[in-house]
Amino acid sequence: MKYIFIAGAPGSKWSSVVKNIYYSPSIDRSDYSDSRTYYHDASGSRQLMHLGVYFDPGMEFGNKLQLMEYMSKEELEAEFDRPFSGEGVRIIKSHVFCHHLDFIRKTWTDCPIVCVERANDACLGWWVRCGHFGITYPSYSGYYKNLREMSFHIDKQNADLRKFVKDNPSAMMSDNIELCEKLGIDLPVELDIQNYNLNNINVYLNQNAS
Amino acid sequence: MKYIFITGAPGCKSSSVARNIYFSNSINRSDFKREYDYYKTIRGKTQLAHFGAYFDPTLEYGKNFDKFETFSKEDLEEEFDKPFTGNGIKIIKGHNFCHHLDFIKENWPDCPIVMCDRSDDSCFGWWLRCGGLNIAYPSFDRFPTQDDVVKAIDEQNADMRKFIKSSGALRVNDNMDLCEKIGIARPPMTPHNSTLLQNYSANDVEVYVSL
Repeated sequence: MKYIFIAGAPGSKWSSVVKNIYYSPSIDRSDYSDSRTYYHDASGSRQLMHLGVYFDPGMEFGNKLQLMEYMSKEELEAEFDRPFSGEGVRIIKSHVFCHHLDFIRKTWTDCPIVCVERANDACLGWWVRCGHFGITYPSYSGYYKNLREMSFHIDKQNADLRKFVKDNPSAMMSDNIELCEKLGIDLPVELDIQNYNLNNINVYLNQNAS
Repeated sequence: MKYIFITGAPGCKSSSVARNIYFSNSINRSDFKREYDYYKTIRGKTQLAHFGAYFDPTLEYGKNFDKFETFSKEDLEEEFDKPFTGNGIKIIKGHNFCHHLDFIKENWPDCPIVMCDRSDDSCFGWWLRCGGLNIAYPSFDRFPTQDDVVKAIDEQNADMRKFIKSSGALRVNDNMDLCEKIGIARPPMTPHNSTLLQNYSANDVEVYVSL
């Protein structure tokens, strides 16, 4: 597999799900740079909240991803690969993937999709706690514009993500160890176990049996 | 019983829980005034979000409830009764009660306490959707910033959950179940008075009652 696709609405805590598999030796971390990080104390202590590259309209990469179904597989892969230069599986994360999960499933049949879900209000509450439009990385100002728009997008993204999870057999993951095992990647070095239930997140893995 | 106490942090949907038992014939609705209504369009639907009297520090009623436990039972009842004139059981709702649940239980042992619990993030998210610091009624002026609301939500939820655990409060399924448990008549379900069968799980709110 070339990619692991990660989808979830803003405030779904998907970045924490990524963070807790990112340091697997199987992952290509060449997208990492200090400028692509964001720290905040929403959880009670200052923590790394965002890391690596994000693909979304208005962000550094994936500016046209709301129209991804009009793009060829080659064009999309060229965009996905732009921030990477290393070896290993590439984590491709985007909020707007929530609207294109069937397309991703059909186009990259051998690549797993990780769906991160929380209640709509919890997503909005957590996203605002994490800094809302003051989040310095990635930028939310271009596409999400204001709080009303953000609420609207969270509801729509969650609705489409839930529909995909319901319509396509997806396994619920209990923690990052299980996720790594099911993805077939090595466990992260200096492993912190992230129990998704304790973190008030639902994490689903969709992948083809073959 | 003279009162039904209803509490929960801002954004816990305690107002919708109150609204869906309010039109019971057992309830004193003399605190209902149009100037207390607050409507909000959320997810494309205009809803009566807040109504009737609220008791919390700096509000018209319960102005000094930051010092709640320093008042006598008589003083507190005088304050609770202020917005009411009629007969029936009075619904007394306030966010700050979360910090005084043992005191309320001790002083009004025959009055049920209804507690609405949602995750801290969900409370904050819903409160923002309802208008945040711009909510016209009741006023949230006592919170200078959103961060102060976040802090209050976390603290109120923590104290309420502690009481739910220690008091052996019962989990309630819906507003009809709640009416039955607290022993009041079921409200007539008509769109006119905004009462619906409210399933609490489907509404993403956990409701507990201490009897």
